[in-house]
Amino acid sequence: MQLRLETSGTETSLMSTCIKKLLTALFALLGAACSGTGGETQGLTARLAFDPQPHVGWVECTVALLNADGTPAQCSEIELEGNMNHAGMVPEFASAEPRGEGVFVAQLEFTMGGDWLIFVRGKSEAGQAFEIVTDVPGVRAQARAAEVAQNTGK
Amino acid sequence: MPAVRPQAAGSNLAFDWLRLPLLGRFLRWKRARLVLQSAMALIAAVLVFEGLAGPQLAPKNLATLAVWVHWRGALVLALLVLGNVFCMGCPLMLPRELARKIRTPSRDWPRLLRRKWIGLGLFVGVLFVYEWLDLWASPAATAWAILLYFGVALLVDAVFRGAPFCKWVCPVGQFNFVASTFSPFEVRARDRAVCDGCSTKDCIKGRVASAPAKLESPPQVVQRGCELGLFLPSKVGNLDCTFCLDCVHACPEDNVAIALRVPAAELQVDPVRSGIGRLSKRSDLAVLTVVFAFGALLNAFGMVGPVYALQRSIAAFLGTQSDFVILGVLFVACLGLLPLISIGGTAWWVARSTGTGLLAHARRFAFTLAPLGFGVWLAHYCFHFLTGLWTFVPVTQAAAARHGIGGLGRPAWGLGGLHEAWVWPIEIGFVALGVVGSLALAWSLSERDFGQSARKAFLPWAGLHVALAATALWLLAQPMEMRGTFL
Repeated sequence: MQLRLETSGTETSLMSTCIKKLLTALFALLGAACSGTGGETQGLTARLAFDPQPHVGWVECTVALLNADGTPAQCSEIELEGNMNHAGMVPEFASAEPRGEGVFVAQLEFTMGGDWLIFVRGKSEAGQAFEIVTDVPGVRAQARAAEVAQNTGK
Repeated sequence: MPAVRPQAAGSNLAFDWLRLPLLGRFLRWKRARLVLQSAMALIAAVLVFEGLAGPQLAPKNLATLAVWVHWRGALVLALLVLGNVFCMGCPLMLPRELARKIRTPSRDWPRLLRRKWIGLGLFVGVLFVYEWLDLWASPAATAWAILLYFGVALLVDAVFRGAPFCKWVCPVGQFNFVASTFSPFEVRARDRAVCDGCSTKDCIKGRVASAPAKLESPPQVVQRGCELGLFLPSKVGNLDCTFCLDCVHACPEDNVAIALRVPAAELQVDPVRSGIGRLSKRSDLAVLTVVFAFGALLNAFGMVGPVYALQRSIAAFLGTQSDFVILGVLFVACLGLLPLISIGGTAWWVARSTGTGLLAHARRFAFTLAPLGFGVWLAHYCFHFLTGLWTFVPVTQAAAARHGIGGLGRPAWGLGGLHEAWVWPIEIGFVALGVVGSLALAWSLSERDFGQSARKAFLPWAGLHVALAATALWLLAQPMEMRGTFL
């Protein structure tokens, strides 16, 4: 198995202009202030690897869950959700099979090229639900005709 | 120019919304628009609340989903099969109605600004900000955009009399006006002879109470006339018509119809139009139509892979990573240079071969881009609308669950819409419809303006339309690729 891409959930998008940064921060601040939500990973880190490299179509996704000290986390009921941050996107879900030592494997379909978000959800060793979000930027698209043919099995 | 009876441009009174049993009765009811606006205002309020308080992931938030997928799709489909019905139900007018109950505006919209340049600039601005701030990906930004829109509409119409926001400012309104030239229905007088015998002109002046409550107070308006300055007997087509139906309620003779007509027929003729004048003299409307058409291509270009490669090239060439600058260059190129070169070149070719004036010809034939532009907008927006048709169901279920509203079940996240394989032929059909409309219009104008030499004018314009349609199909054939940043 080739593990060609590793990403972590700490990446943030580059904002290239000060005004854009200011406006985006303002919108995020206002949104967060109203919703009162926040990310909670309970000290867990998810490392994702894909085989082959993320592209439109089915990809095997290996998730390694680590505790804060870098040791494998004993988690269960791991589910992946692949999504993109644009309106109208239909999320993709996949259950992950445990392979031991905090490693889980799932088959995930990328239905569109571009920047994806992978939500890793499950239960920690203590039985608490958690969610970790990971960026998967630049998923390769293919010619639309090929996509349509692949999706329709033609 | 032959004398054209303005409203004879392809209208058919056999089908009239206002004469339909239930719908007609509803539309003739004076509170009909208020009901539609209230419903839309309620939806807008929910979207603002959700945009600010809901999850900030765009596909799971009602604000982004409803605005950028469903509203835009429903808007263009309604324009295609009905008319400018979204202006009819526009909720932005509700706050100003309330404000005007407190204080009646006394100023007139400045004469200098009575052109579409502000609306045109804002239309380009909206397209730019949409790409620059990734509005489709930000529920909070979408909510603030809605609030800002309400605020500006209220401010403009609280200060100035009439409906200057709709006529001169609103970017969505300008989009609707141009697109609705392709709509199959128009508000018009049923019988011109009845209008000829009318002395009160209520459709434009409105109606006032027979006697003021106090002698010194101004007469009380009991029914306003057209606030956009469209006098029904000389109104032609849908340009500047918001389907507000004030004329329907004002006309004492019940002489108004929402009648079937030939789409785009209004662009074939060039009479003096009430509230507009001659199209051939309106550079602002011609430029608006050009931006409408090229904006459709640019907006579609923004969602496919090649745009990122181009933007990277611009970034490397300019040595900058500023989204603002790179997008600015792209917008100037696509909405300025490209139209200038392609339309200027086409008009120059025709002018050279026919001896006609270049600017006047360009201004006249620029309107032939409207059907094609609308076809591309239709194809693009319907792609999102149809492929994401049912996505509002799980998002609504999730929102309801978040607010403790039971009974809608667990979110069915697997619900999507039509498969791309089904939508692709529909997209091709819309572009084909648009280009056929543009070609027919170009031929009609060529025949009228050049008679025997019609081909000399038609062929260059036909070449441009076919080239733009081919570009649109190429763009739509690209796989969709959504990125937060291109660098």
